[in-house]
Amino acid sequence: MRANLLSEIIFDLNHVDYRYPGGAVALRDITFSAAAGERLAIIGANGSGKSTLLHLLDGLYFADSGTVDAFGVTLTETAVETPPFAREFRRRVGFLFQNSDAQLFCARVDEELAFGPLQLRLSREEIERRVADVLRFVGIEHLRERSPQQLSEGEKKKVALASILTCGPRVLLLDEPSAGLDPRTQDWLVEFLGALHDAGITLVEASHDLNFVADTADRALVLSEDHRLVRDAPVTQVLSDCDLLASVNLIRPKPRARV
Amino acid sequence: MLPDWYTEMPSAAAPEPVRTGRRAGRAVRRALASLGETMAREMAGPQARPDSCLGRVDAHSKVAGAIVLIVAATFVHRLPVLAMMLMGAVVLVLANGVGARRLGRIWLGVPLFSLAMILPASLNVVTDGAPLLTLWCPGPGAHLGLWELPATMTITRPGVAVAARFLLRVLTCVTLAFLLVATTGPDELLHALRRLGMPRAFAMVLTMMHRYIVVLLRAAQEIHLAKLSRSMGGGSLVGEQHWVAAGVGSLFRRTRHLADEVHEAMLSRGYDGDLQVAARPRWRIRDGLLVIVALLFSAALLLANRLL
Repeated sequence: MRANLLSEIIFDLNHVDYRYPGGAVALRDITFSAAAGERLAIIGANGSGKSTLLHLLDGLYFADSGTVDAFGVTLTETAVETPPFAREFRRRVGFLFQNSDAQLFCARVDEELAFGPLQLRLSREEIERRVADVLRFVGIEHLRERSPQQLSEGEKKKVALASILTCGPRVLLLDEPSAGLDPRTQDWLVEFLGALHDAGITLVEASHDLNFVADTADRALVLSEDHRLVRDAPVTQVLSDCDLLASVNLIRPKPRARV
Repeated sequence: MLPDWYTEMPSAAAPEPVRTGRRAGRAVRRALASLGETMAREMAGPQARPDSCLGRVDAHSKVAGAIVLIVAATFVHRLPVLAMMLMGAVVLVLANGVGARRLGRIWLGVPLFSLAMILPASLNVVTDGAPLLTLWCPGPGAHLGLWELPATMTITRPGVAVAARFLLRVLTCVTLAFLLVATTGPDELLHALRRLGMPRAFAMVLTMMHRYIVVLLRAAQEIHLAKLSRSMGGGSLVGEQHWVAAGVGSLFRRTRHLADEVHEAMLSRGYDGDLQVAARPRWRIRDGLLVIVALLFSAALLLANRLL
């Protein structure tokens, strides 16, 4: 099954440049492809453009030059706002934001989980079934009627993840998924993402937590501090290249200077 | 390397704290902490017992019933009838287990403000009539700027009646609105308002505001605490005002950033500008009964208002 999946290209980026509205460069000349069923990590120092790249993959930002293709369609503002592609794209691709508070905007957890399926115009019975299934799958049934204000950071992350899963995405974009989580929740997340991968879900994560990346990705894209893609290789190969990691400010090149 | 001035700091024992009598900073900190805690608690859900009479009724019926009663209160002008309405509303609040203390807090705020607004109406310069109490005798021909004053400034009987009527109406309406909010979950209430004609965008803005006001309040607390942790005390009033302005600016920037993120999170989950919300169950008999009772009660009050 995995071999069949890997032959299907999901994202295809060609010479993508992106600047923030103020004019600052966020990404330069990014070219890579991602196949279905892959576990892909985008790694780089703070401000290297990891989150921006995820926003481009989710059709929330659009390239200034170059092209971002998803499922064979070039992502433009028109494409992601026009049905039926828009709805199908949103159904297939889920985005876990770094800031869970931004993602949990409904009054209750069950409403949060129902938000995506409602926007996809699914039937009421189908929405109720999905909400119940995902609550059970993620292990947060006890949080069903809680308000997001009453949740811990770990619980918020679980609810945010569940709120995406109810749409049934085949691709998950994860922005710093391990940030702010305690060790037990991090372990849970590693196992959970492993289960999703085993089910054939494509995972694209942006992170600078190298331990987490080692546990949850097979392939790594390394962004430098000047916003270029400087390496696209298997995770084990990238993580063993200390010179590369030091050059992109992911590990220290020498022992920390004493104060 | 740390700069020299950093390592050359005196290492003498810390001086004893001196009481200056300044309490403003502490008051702001306590107010922010208390406000945050209260908001988080009050906004978590309805405050009535879940098994209370109104707690089990559909939100649409409650909104419709409350609107009927509030409209009736605006038409009633006899003081005894208004007082009866107010008593009825208070009894409903207590019977639904909301608690007199919460109601007291509401009454201390809004109606007191209303009283301050309406008090001038009790004076003879606004409402003429038989004097009840003489306040001041400026004498004939007295002026306040361009405004000619009467020879005596009095509180009049009709003026007191106007103020009492206004205050009773405000108290009744505020109590009914409080009862509605206290016995209905915020999401259900907003959904009911939406179904009863509130514009979609307005309902969405209210939902967001309800969700994020606590998050932003916490951000305000953090900004204040961060400032306190670097304050040496003894700042001037102008300096404090500058700081407050900078804090408001910082909070505004965070709000903008959060708003952008929320919008992106909504788009990412399929929101296309036409918000879909969950349909609620149909009305049951008891839901319809509440609206009928509210209508009959309002009609009875209006009749009593005419006959008394």
